[in-house]
Amino acid sequence: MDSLNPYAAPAAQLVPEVVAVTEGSVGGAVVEELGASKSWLAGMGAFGIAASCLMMGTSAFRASLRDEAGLHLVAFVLAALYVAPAIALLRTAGAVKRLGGAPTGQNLAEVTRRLATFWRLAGVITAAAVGVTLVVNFFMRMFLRAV
Amino acid sequence: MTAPAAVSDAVVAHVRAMRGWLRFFAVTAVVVTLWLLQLEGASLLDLLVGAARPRLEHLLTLVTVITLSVCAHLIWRQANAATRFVAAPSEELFVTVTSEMRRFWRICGPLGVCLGGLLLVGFFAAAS
Repeated sequence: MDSLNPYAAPAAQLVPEVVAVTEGSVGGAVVEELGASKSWLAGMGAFGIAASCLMMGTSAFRASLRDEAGLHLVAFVLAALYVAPAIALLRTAGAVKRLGGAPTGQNLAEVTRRLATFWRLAGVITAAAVGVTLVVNFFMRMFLRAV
Repeated sequence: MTAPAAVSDAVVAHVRAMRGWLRFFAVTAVVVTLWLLQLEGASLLDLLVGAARPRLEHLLTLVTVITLSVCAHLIWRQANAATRFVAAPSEELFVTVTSEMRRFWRICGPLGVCLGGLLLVGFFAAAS
């Protein structure tokens, strides 16, 4: 009714229109580019899980033989950690597949969320692995100097 | 008015979160490459001039250095594309981000499979 009232006070739009968009259109180029990466995302995820499981199995077997058990337990834990980003890659591939079927804003947001999760998980684990390597190197050098 | 979904708040926030980790990965890959070259550079040089016989360790180091260098370059390109998109979100810039991502997986995927295979062979050789 205010739009019909010439004496009403002017009001600014407080929330920009773009902010609420999650249901907008997804361009064909976006779907095509993401779809082209899907097979690699799924492939690398499957390869990562298979490699981690192989390493976990071998490490567990070697640790059970009590041959450098501590070292093999560390290898087992590192291999187990790398399963998480591999699963994130598989989930990303699944989200890309859903986007191909129904190119909606929600599905696109799901793809980018899964991708961000993958990079965060892989980054945290890599940072931890680099940190552990540096600490082990430091103590090994200290030990060798003492000997 | 319906804007393209690529410029929605959620997508921009996710790409922004991804950008930092991409930069971290690129820098880490460069540092690890330099560290490997500092450790194994001399033996690789011996191998290249024919003064040493090729071994699995040489191949592993060489493939790791190549993979990490290429990955660092492509991840940095992805991070740059993500930075441009976050600064001024548009569908065209989002297509650039996804295009860089596609290039990364297409090139680093096969390299990663080669490196992973060699690492597994090395792991089993050391374990047996």
